[in-house]
Amino acid sequence: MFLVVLYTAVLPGLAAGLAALAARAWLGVEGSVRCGALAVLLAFVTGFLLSFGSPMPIDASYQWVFWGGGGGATAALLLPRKIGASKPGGAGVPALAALLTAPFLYGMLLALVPRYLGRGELVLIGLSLGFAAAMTAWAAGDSARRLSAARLAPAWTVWAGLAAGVLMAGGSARMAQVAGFLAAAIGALMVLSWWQPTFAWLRRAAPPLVLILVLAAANLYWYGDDARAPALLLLLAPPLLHWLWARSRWAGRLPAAAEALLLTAASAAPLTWALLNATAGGGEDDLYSY
Amino acid sequence: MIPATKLASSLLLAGAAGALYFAPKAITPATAEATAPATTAATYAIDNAHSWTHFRVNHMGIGTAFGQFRKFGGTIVMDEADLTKSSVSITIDADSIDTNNAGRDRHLKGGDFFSVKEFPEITFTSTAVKPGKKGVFAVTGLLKMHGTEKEVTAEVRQVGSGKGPRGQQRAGFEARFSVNRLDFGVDYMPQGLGKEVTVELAIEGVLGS
Repeated sequence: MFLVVLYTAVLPGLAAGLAALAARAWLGVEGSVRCGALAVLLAFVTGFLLSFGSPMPIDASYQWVFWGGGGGATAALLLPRKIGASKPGGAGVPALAALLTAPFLYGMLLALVPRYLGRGELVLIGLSLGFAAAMTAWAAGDSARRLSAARLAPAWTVWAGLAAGVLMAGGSARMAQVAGFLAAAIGALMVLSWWQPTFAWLRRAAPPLVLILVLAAANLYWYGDDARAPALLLLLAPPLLHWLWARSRWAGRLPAAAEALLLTAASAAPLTWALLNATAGGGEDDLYSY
Repeated sequence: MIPATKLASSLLLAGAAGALYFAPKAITPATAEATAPATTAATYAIDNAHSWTHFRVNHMGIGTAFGQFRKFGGTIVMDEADLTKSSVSITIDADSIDTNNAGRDRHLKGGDFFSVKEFPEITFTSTAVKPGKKGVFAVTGLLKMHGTEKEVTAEVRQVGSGKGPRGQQRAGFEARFSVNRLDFGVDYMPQGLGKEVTVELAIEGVLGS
């Protein structure tokens, strides 16, 4: 258990924090928008390699989560700085999320063709979830642009942390660990945001965060046994609620702690519902603690 | 002009509905199929009702966990004149795993372990049969599991043979071998579950069926 916590939370969180600080020092305020992407990338790769080993040729579906997440975070890191900086959300962020989600989902689910899925269905799944990921990443990116990192980071940490719980309850401890890497990364950014509350720690973390959660949920849903779709779809609800708040007239007008608490509640409410949904219906013979 | 919030919400709902519509549907249920190599020797088809495939693995360094695969089939070709020409072919339905706990079975079927939708079958095809002492054979073959194929050698013993209640000629065998599950990419929880898995089979075959 100690090793699981070390590999899932402590070391990925440390990697994320150090990466964000390094990026902050090298890129300065102008380049700060990239800190979040670098933090997620380092936490994700560190956690994945420590927990699941390497090298990892693509011979099992879960490894697409690694390549998709790593690719998404790298692309978010390398996107031109102006994308997403001036206009609400920017077109680049959702386009990136959609462009990456669809092909990686296609690759991940290809082993199910033709036994469980037709190729046409697979294309439509990629397009549908790619679109859902794009809209969620856009909403998350726009919230991060409108709200300070100090107010939003606790909500995102709870979002990723409870997502880990939902994935665990859904039947995949491995995908729960993946969400744990994200919670560790955002948790590290949360601590940094308390140090510099107005710095753009979170902005570019949105696309890889959404992409990885979508890939992890898809892996559990299509390769798991009896995972519940409503619980997994609710993983995308928190950023939409944050975005609705960020667009409201009250955004930024509450005291920082109160607004952070409200946003955190907006993460916790749908995911608590998701947790209940994921665990509903289990009989006594289902009791199983790994 | 549609407000941006309404437009975004509608589009997301459309995407989510698409994902729900295309939920996984089993087009063909997994079945264990027998494949018989061409031979003039006696061919026995595995009788699933009188055969078992069990495995055991260490749990957390504390205890031992047992499980079985309920559905499997295959053939045993016995050449009494030259036992080295005998062969075995077994196909196991990975989805039929049963560890006496529904929650654990769901976990084992998923991506953390066997990923049965991705790798629905476990197969063993013998490549060499070497007779040993006291009726024990060393049967070497290729075990394919979780998309990985490795050579394993099983210790096989013939339990007996004779007529069944319906007059069919039957032969019974027991086999035992061990594998390192990490070699087959079944590598989750390397600290929590033993790496070595011992597999034991008790098989009854029916001649010419």
